[in-house]
Amino acid sequence: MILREGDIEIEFPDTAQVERFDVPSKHGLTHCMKAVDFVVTDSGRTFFLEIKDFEHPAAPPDRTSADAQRFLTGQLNEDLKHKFRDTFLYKWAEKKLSDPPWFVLLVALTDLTEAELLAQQTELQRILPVSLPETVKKRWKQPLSSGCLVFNMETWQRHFPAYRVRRKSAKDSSPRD
Amino acid sequence: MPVESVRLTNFTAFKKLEIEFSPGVNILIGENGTGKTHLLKVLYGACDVSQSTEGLAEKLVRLFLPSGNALGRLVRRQKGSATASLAVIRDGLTVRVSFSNHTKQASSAQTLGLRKWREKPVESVYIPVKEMLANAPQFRSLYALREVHFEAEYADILDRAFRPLLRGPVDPQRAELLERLRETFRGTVKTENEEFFLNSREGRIEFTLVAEGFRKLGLLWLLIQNGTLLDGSVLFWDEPEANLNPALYGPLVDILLQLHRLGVQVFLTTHDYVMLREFDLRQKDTDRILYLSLYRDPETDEIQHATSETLSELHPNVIQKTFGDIYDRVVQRALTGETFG
Repeated sequence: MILREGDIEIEFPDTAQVERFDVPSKHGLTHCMKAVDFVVTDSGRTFFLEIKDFEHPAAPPDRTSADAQRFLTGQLNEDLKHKFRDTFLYKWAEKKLSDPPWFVLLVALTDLTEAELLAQQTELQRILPVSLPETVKKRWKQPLSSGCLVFNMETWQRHFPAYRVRRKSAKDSSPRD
Repeated sequence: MPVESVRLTNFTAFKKLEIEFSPGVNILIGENGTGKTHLLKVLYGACDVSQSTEGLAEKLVRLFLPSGNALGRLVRRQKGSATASLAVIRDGLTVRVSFSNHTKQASSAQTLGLRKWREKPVESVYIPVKEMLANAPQFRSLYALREVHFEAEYADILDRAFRPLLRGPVDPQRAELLERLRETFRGTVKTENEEFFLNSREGRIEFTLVAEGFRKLGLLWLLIQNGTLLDGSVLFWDEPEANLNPALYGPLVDILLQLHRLGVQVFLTTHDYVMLREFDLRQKDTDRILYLSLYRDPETDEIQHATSETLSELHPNVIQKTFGDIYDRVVQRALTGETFG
């Protein structure tokens, strides 16, 4: 099935369960709990998926570049941290957390290089928290998350070849085969 | 009068190389052994002889130090006889030099165009990777007596550093640049009997005790203060980031861009991702930046080059690729392995 967030589309196999999580009417608690965009379960992995499109064709350019700047300087990390934790709590209450979920951030920004993705990933791992100091590792019996990964569209495709990602606008404007 | 282009045939590692440069900032990347430093030295040698009475072939021997000062050893190594030829073009003028691999003396080389080349002298400075100011006392006299086996750029940089500071008011642009530099190493540089000192809040500290990164920035301050780096000069800097903490790369790039805007042509080599990215992020539309990549052709092993005005379009980019590899390994390790903590 095809997951859509604005101009970004990701194709998941039919065996996957894809839930659009941040719908206020279905969620019921968005006034006091933050929510990631999607919760996807496939092949035994649960992903809390957040998509940030900083190059939406219809958005005004200075708006998106201001947002991109906020992302690059780590100002969105607080928001992402709460989205992860609140989604975790909600899913725990639903008794739908069999394995620690993955937090996956897909950032559509062509200028973003792997070095920057790595830097963002490392910082997010520190705050979610995913990477833990020694004192905590001794006390915690189970992790909150299986991992935190940050992708752009190109690296997403490289590491998840089975989940095709594309821009809806690119598909619409290309000539028919 | 900026350097416009270079043509090299059979010279050291190069079989055939022809590059057109930017009158602004030229940033060279490439794996070790792709000739970046040699290229910088050739260009610097050509610029330097425009202001001296030394021949270009002689200068090349002193810059490259082939064994026994045999010029012919700078010809690309191959079986049989071969000829190297070099041409540097600047402001419509070309200086050419050629020699065979049998050439023992620099004086036997064929040089063309040097007289006209000298009618338009250009000020140039080459900052070598190893900072020299700390080792300055008596170095130049030893070098002049041929008592030390150092390449010419080490003596040349000291000559530039020892020039007296310019007197009189400094124009506001240069003053601002000098101030920004001063903030990075927190002091001023003074010379006394061939010894360099950093005058800072902590007092008068001899260069031998100052961090190497700060010494390099101090050198840059001196070169701007004494008029070596002015509108029309050419700066060659091999790995400016060496011995500098990445926190200072941004301010350094800013200073290099300011120098460019003041009319200095810049050539630099770098191995560092942050340096490249800082240029990419700080350059303005009015700046003229050229990114150059030297690489070995996978089939012939010959050195080729690629250029781009934007960093993202530069291919191959070995620095970018290395980060790509690290990122891929980190993600793969997370997806396939233990990730608790």
